[in-house]
Amino acid sequence: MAIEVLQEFDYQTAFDNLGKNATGPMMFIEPLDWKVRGMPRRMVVIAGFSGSLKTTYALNLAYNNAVGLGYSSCFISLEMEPEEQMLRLAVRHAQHPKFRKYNFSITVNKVLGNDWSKEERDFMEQVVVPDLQRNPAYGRIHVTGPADFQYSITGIEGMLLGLENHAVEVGASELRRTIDILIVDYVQLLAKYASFASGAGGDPYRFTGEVFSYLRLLTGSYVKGRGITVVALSQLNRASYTAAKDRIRNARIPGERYDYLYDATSFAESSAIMSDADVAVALYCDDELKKQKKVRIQLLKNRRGESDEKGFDALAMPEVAYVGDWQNDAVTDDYVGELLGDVLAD
Amino acid sequence: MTCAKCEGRGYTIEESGKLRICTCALRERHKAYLEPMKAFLSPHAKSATPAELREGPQAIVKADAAVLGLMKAMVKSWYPEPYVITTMEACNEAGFQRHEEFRSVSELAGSSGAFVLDLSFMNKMRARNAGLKEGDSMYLVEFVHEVVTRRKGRLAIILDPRVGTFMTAYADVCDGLAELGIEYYEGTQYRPFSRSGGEGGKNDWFA
Repeated sequence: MAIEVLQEFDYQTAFDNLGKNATGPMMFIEPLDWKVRGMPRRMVVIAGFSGSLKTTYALNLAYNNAVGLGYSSCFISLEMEPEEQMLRLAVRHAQHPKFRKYNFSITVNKVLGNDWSKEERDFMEQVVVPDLQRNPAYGRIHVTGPADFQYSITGIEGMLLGLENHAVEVGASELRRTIDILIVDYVQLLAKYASFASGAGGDPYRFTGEVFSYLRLLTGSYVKGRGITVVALSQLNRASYTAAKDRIRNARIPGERYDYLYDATSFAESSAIMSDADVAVALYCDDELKKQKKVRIQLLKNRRGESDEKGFDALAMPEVAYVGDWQNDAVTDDYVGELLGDVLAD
Repeated sequence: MTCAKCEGRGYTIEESGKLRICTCALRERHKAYLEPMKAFLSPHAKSATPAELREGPQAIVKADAAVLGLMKAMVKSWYPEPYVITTMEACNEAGFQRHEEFRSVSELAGSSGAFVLDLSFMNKMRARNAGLKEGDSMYLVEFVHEVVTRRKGRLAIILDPRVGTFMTAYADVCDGLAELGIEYYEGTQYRPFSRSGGEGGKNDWFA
């Protein structure tokens, strides 16, 4: 009898759907992409302590998916002003290879500090921003603050639908009509805002879990089952951070001091974060790594494949809002030969 | 002069949109990294060809070619791990708890993931003073063992060109290094440490 029940399952449709669901938005860091292999309708957590570049990485994730793959995102920025996020996004786009011919060096500090020349501002206003906002080959990135969803978690779905409807009304290009990725920066702050608004207050642990479970539900239920990829940024608890710092300072094997920094118990305020996530990534960055332009990344959970608890290094350049693959292929024999020549000449 | 590759940005942008640290920025960092090693080079180093050293803990006899070879290996496989140049005396200070910073050889060995152990200074008094030798050998081997075996750190030992004298004076150290599988590079090849360097040592002083 059991076999007959199984045979009622529509394998053909399931097989057809495999192709559609296989890729989806990517993480745009190779070691992660090789293991995670796309994140369609997935719940992805990017965790890290303050200053570990998780917002910069999330912004890059939205940017690369929009420019490289045409996916649109809604970025709920609760920590940083949405306006500042948009400026960082423009700085990131200014690094696009097609703008090399203009030969401008645009950095976050230059823009936020209003410390740029007239030519640089003209370049951003007339070249970079119009391309980012109107290129039909790109998905769009909508950055929003807490006011836009009325401080309520259920308001998020309404806001996303509103964005999609508005895009259709104004005749936006096909790629910009749907929202494929929802990014929440960060989930504990969303829980706090939402709990105050609903009057629930009280237990932040419970409420963070509830918010997270709602976001998890959204990945499959959004627009009658079309689904959405949710990337939730999360704080780590203080004890884990202290333990990681301690391990780095007193590592028995100094060369391995950045290995296995965090684990599944490191997430702040709720165990639901780890149990509900399909993919959980932790970022670590301290002064030493910042000097080396590196951020340490661990893949703590990957529901569909291997994880990487030991971690690996990625390139971090917050001055141009960039987090991406680290590649150390410059050190060839010729390069070292020239370098030693330089050292001896000094 | 502004780098033609990156126009002074310090990074380059690939066709794929990925950013890379430009070699000009990398070179500045590598130069700063190698700066302390210049102390081991002679004024004639420019004419030397870097030796091809193998990976792993090892000793080199101080010569420009070998030091340049070590610098090459450091750029290729040590960087960006910060390294510390330490001495026999520092090992003793740590061992006898007279070190300002470290209370044991283990603490000294754990202070970095990479060490250059400078044994390039050799004189008659150090080589022949029995008391000094015993202290040296006791903590030196412990330090090397701690770095190489327990902490899996990177280690390069720089020996005095009068390597025969070193072997005679520090036979125990040589035994310890040989037991740890460390060999020394001299001229164009690696040689194992042994007590048999004694005869050569006699002539070192008059060479």
